[in-house]
Amino acid sequence: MSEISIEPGSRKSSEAPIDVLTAGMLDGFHIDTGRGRRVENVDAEPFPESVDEINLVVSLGGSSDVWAGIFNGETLVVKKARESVSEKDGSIEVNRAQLIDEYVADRIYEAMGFATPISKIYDGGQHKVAKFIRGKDLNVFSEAQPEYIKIKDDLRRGFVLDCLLANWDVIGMAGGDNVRLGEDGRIYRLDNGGALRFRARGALKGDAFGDEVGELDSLRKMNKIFSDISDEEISDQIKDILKKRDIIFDALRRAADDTGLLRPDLVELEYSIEKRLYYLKSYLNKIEKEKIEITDPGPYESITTRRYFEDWDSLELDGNPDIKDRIRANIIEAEKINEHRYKDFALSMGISVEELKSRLRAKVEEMAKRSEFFRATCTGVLENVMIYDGRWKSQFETDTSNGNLDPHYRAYQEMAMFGFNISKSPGGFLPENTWQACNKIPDDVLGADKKNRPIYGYFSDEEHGAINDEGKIPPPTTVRYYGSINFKIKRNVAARKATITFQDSLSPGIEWPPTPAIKPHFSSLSLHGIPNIELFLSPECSASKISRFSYSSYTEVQYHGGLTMDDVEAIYVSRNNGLGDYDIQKVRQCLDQYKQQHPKSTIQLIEF
Amino acid sequence: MFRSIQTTASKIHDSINRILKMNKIYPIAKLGDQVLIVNSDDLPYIGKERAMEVKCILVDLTKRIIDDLFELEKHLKFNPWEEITAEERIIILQNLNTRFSDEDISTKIIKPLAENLVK
Repeated sequence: MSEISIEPGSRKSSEAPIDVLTAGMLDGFHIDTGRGRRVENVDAEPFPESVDEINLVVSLGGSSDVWAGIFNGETLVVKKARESVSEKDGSIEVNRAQLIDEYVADRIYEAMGFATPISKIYDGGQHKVAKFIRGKDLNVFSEAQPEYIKIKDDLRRGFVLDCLLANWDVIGMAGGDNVRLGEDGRIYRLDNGGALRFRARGALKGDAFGDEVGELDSLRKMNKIFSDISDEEISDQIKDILKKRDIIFDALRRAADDTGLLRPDLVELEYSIEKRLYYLKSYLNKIEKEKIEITDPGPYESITTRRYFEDWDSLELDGNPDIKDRIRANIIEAEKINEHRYKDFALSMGISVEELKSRLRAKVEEMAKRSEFFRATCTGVLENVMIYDGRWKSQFETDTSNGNLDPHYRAYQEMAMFGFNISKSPGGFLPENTWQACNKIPDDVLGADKKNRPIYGYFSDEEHGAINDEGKIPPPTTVRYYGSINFKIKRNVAARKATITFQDSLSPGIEWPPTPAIKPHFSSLSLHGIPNIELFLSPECSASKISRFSYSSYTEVQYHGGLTMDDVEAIYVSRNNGLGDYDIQKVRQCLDQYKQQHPKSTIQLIEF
Repeated sequence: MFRSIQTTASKIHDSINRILKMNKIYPIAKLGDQVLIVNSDDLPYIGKERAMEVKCILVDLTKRIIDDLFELEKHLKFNPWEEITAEERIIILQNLNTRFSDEDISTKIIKPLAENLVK
């Protein structure tokens, strides 16, 4: 085996491709872990001078034009640049930049110690040819198999790097067809076409590949493998990446040399990565700040709650003027009321009460973060909501002429939970916490500001808004009693309008008060309803499957300050969720009519 | 002959309505084709003392579906239910008669409501 070492900057882009490997062993290659030193093995060079020399044998399908071919007895994977028809003049446009970005991402992964297939760019990005990796894809293994665990560990080790490179499709489809355990024992990220500036299907990410590394949240939300990565792991990975920032930029520049990446593109990528590294540094500072030891709970029941309230003043929440004050008071009260339950659970787990509360905090935050926010709606009110009113109404706004549908109980609860109309209450106080007190709420208080009464919905981490034992449809969702048409609310709207509880909110007293969806407090979880706290805290427990882990049948959202059609992102309908053909037809008609009224609306109808 | 059949049908209808009334079926709120039914003995508790204990049954008159027993307050919280007027109640009771079998009305509406009264 002959070996040639080349120092950085000594190679011209016209020379044979060189792979930068900094850790581990790859067949036919000597690996150099020293930073900046590159090693190539000419004997093992599998690539021809021209793509035409490769005998393309079979299409590999996928979202791009990918073929497997043979050259010199070696199997190679040939990916062709995407082509599209120009909207301007009808000419064919070739997206060469995406394959180059993928090559750049590959080189950065390798430089940072993660395996990708060795590859070469041809014709200025027209083709990317990679060595075929023999082995088995992630989705071949069950979660209990050691191979799966090995792959999972490696993937998690590279999580922050995946985020930095915005590698949205790192896991791939069908549970992991972009990750392979090679016969050499290495874990390969096979297809990084969705990294850096492009989406996997070729469109530019635009602002989504921006200054903020939102993937730290979104990748955890979208991929089970990453879902329970702790702040501590993220913190360690960020530190490692910041230490190796020069390696990242060296790899980027070398990849630019290899591919002939244009100067403006190189500058754009350097700038983006620099900004995103800066974001990672800020994120790290935030985590570190939270870790600073606080030993005094101050005026609260726990240190966890003291930390929770540290940035409370900067929290924005729509609704009645007293809402934040009321929620704060309720959290403090609920934690006191439930203290004996926290003690019992902590004892059963053999941990401190503070540790239990800290874990509960992490759990409720994770469940909310991974979820989307919905409003279940009946066919019977569809036209009113979509066409005539453009908003949802509560029962307070409908006729109660006979007086049997007495709303005092709900009015009392909303006053207690959110301080709704509390300033209009006699003396400006919440009436005494008794059943009889409900009836003493004067009619003018009851009837004031009806339009802004909370609107109730639910949250779920299932994409269509399913929520039941299975966490998917079928079976129907457990909120179908309230309506089978699932309206998904825009995330930014929910962030400022929604409070949540991990079960139905109506109850005598405030033992599990609603708290902001963007900043849930663990007291919003009713400990009455948890048969096994350790199961509840496990990664398996999610909002869509809450009924499997607690006596609660659904996770509730309360929207404040009104909920309108402008707040809707998409509508989900399914015949498996209690809807018939008539209902679905009705939804289609209403949406068509709505779009005629609002031509700029981007609301999508998703039938599944 | 025709009048005789009509009279007989009307008598049967009245008789069934009386049975429904006797069994205290009380349609209280509507939303499109859906109706919430409570036992009239529970009316004093709605929105007041022990409100969460008042159970109801949701019936979809068009789809001919009778749901399980459920807390009335939870339904009222989620949707803009409209209170049913006295005239509407008569028609709804008649529709209930025509669209569901006596057995369904008895076992799926009357019985569960009677067995789950607040008292």
